[in-house]
Amino acid sequence: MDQVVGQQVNKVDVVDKVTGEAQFAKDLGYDGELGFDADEMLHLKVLRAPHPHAKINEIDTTKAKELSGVEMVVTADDVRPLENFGLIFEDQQVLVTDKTRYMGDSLAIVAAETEKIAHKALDLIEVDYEELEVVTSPWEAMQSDAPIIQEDFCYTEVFYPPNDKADQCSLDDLDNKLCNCNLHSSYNLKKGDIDTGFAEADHIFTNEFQTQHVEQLPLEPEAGVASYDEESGEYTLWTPTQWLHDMQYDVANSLDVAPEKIKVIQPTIGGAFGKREDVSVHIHLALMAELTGRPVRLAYTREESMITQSKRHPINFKFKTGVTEDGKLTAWEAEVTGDVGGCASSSCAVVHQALYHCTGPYNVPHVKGKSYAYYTNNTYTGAMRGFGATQAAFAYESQIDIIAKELGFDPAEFRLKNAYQVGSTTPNGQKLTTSVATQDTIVEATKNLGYEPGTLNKDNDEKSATTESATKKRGTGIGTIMFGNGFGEGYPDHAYCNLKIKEDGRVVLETAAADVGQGVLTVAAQLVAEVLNISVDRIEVPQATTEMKNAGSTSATRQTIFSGNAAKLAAENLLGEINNLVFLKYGLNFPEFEVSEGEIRPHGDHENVTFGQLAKLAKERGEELSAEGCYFPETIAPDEEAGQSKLNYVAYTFNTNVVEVEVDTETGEVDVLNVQAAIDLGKAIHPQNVEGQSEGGIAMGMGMALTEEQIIEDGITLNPNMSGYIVPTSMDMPNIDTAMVESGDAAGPYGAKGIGEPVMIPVVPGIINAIEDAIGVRIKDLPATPDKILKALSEKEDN
Amino acid sequence: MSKVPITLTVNNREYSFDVEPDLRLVDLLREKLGLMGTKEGCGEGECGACTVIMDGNTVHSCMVLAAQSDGSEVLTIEGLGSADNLHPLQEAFIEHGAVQCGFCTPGMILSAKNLLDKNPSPTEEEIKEGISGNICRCTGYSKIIAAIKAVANKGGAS
Amino acid sequence: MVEDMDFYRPNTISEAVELASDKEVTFFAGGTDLMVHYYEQLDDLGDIVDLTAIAELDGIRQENDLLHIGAGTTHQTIVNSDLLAADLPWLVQSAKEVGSPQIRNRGTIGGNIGNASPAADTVPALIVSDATIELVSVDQKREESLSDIFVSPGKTTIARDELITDIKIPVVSDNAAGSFQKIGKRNALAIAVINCAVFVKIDCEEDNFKEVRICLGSVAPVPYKAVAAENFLVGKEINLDNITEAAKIVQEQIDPIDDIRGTAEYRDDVAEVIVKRAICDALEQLEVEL
Repeated sequence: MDQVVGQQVNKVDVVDKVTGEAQFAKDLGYDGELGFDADEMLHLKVLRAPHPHAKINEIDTTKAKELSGVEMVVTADDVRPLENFGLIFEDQQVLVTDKTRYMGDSLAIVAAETEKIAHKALDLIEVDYEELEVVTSPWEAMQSDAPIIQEDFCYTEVFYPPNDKADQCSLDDLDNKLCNCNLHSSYNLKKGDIDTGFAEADHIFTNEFQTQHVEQLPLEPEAGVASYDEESGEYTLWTPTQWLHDMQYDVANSLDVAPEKIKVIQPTIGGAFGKREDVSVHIHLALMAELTGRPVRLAYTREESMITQSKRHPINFKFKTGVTEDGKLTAWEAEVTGDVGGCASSSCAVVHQALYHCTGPYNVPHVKGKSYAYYTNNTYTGAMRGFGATQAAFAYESQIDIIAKELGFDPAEFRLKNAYQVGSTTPNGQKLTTSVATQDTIVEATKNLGYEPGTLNKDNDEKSATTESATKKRGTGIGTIMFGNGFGEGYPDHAYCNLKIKEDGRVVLETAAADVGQGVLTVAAQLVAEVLNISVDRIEVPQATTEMKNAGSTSATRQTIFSGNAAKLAAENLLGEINNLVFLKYGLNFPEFEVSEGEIRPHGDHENVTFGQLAKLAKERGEELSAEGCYFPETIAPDEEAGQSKLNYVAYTFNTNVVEVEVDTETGEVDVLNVQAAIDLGKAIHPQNVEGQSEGGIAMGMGMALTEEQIIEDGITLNPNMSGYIVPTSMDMPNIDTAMVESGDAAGPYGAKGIGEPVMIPVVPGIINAIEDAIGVRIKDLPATPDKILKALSEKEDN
Repeated sequence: MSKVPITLTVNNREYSFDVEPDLRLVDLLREKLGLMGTKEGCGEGECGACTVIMDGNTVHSCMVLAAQSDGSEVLTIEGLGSADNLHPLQEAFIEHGAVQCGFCTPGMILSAKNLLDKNPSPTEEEIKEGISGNICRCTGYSKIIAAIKAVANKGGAS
Repeated sequence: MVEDMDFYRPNTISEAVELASDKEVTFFAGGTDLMVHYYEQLDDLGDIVDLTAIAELDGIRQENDLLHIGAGTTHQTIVNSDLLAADLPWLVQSAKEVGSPQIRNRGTIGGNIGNASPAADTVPALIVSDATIELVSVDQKREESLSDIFVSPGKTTIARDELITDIKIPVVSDNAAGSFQKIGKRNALAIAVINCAVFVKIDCEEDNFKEVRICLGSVAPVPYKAVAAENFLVGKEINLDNITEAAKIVQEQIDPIDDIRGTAEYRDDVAEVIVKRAICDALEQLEVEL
């Protein structure tokens, strides 16, 4: 048996995906496979807010109920009180009781015999409402006379998680505006002494950067099916989520039932990118299955998905950076302000993660920062690939580039001079002790584009010499980033994996980890195969459900380390079980035999024993040949005053992208020509998957840098569709190569670290820096659209 | 609303239906024929997940009324190959790691097939153009392009 | 969806217009514009008359000095046409820039006209080619210059019971060429931020412009015919200064708006650029050195 880790194997779920057999949520319920006929199923539609901020006086559903084929219409008045939900902070109403806070708030749910009838019934619901002033940005939200968006969540001081110190505002405070009620959360960061840092600096750079609302746009819109069994009080949901057990909790909590009464079954997931962390169809499905007593189905339209579900936070960064004449960073001060939207979701964590990543992978002895997250009436914001660190990287890598250029350094050299190494300390005060190959990623990516550090921004005329016309200019740019793996910060974070050998000798790998397309199931299978010395095709991976043990979230770039380690540990434990059984039965002790391709092969004259025979043997003894692995590493919560933690994240991934662009100086259009990525991923478990993730991440980063923006004016999305929201097509893609730097992490399985989020991050500043190199203008608010580029060019000429 | 009688061939089998005038081809395929491999990602002809081959050309099955498909011949992903008998494009997509979440995959493979049917040895630019109506949010397209190229080099997608 | 919606699939133009003569119908071909509104507006369409089975609406042919493009001809058929590639390459280019392969396979040139989007790609290319359209109803058959029919976004002078059946374009004479230029937000599946088609005919002996037609999309509620710039160039010497001046005139005369695809200011700026590029490209085809 050859090694499995580090090799290309076919993904465990891929055959179903290329034949169309893979079942996504919207494909379910039509052929009796869920235990009921398609005719039994009711179709749901949800009435959304008529206005982003409005007091709801009355919702009249009379006419909708009279429509033939409508089974039920419910509003908050028709149902028992339901608990709020929210990914971290629970402030969103299942059905609005008082007022709307953004356009995705739910006013009523229709259940009808067909989707068409349900859709039509929505038009017949009459809503009497009173428009309130709409808060469109954090800058408006922080004004003392701003209308309050979430009256029940006003604190005099807010930390995450809201704690005893966070006193609820009194009514007097509210009346007297003594607390800013739209401030959802705020965090501190203090390392060293910022004044000392600035005193040591020869140059100080102050800049401001702004990011936009970005839509994750997984290709599959939200959908699901649910049924309810009145006798047992059990709910079954077939609907995707990035974290089965958290979704189970959310549904149970809102409906006020025990979590074990909620069973969630994971269909094939049509992409996620953070968007499937939040509740979407789930609670509505469970509620309506219970109320109607029939199976129910709910599928969002693309428009509904874009308006209702989370976005990437627009974040504003104000940076003040001190640096010495010879290019050493001495001080970094950051003010980070995020737009939460109408409800909190994971905003507190996203915006503070942006703060914690604000200096990038660079040694800065003195850091001071504060983050603020403000409610507005925009579509709410939450998790998206990079979780605040993506926005931060655009800002810090722009700042680094500005400094390097001003001080006359080559951008790659400047980064090398300041980059982390083993022994460096993060802004949170965590000393990096393992797997820090930041500098290697810089050198590797730069070389792979054909440059040496020191030459990256030189010879611009030569770069543009091959362009079609004199109005097209070429430039190169670099982005280098770090990304903390796992939730970290002392948050309980763990993953289980269970293995079993069946009597046919096949190995069943049970993991509740969500494979959103990134390939965690294949990685887990590879790790198990490696330990058991079998090929991956001997492993079966059943559909994940909440009946398996918690694997935690597919987010925070954590599954390779968490579920990977759990799978590896489970396999090692299973090997122990095998060894034990072989000893009990045959009196053989390892290494008197070897385990290979599903067989026990004793040295000497014993016959081989198959896994299947062993499983039967175990059964005869009244046992199952199975084992469990659990990975539960410790991290430490940062303190509130300074955000310091000796062990903030489990591991850190580093990634550099060097980018070549061509800019049309007459139209402002940017063509990305070439991207060279070099990722310090510890160890590549599945190199082809790594490339695939890197290429996909770069496409997504290109979108964020150049074209993607959900345009929200006065709380209303102007482009809630795929013709107005512009993601890259095949014809927009550059050449991409991905180099893998294997620095061997101490915590990861076989040294591996996660890459899911870090792969999309560096290309964003890489493109912006390359544009600057090509045409000498710096775009500080994303996306860098042709309008902005042309405007900046003409301002440059005017000066 | 009077129903419209239609007869069409899907994956080499003939079917007759009386359809509502506003039924879309995608809904006919999915809900009446149970061919769930055809996906709906946007409902407005922008994502390409619902792509099928109709009378030799790719179309968005969300933009075609079922009533318009009377007399036509439709190929969906289910008609291309199966787990035991994979089409060369399906094999290549597996081998080249061209699949991540898989939601775009059926439509993408059908666009690739239609491209190779019309142009058995496309250049890289022609491949990119051939799949330009199919959005993939996961892969960045590189591995998809490589898979199609590999099939073209091996002599096509027949 | 309306309960009384009916669907008709005639095989001839006369059957189709007969259906439209006594009730509200929507002529429906590739569906690539109408079906975009499936989730909101299909109710409003009323009875549907599907045109995809009418063979006489499909096809490209030349008769004497006129090229005929049937209104039911798909964008892809135009892209594939050798006849058009030889005579109207800018029209072929405009059809190639429409949407995606799936949309080009299904969407028709008649639909692109009838939909009356100010951002339509083929319309400016047709207008500078001096296209006329044939409109047929039960009562009459009439012809209109394409540039005259647009009223506002989505609205034309075509009567409710009239069907666009044919597009007629004069065969291009010697010493004439055209160009289509588009700025979109990406390289495929792009609605024009701005587009521009030009047609120039030159007098080789006098070295001047004999005929000039310029039309832009997405700068006004309807396709914008840049008459002032056309008039400026006719009779003028062929040189970069005059072309630049004409492009400036276009920029000064248009009054675009801000929308999700671009700002008015941007459209103003790039209108000048693409008009210039289009004229230079046409002249390059005529092997004129600038």
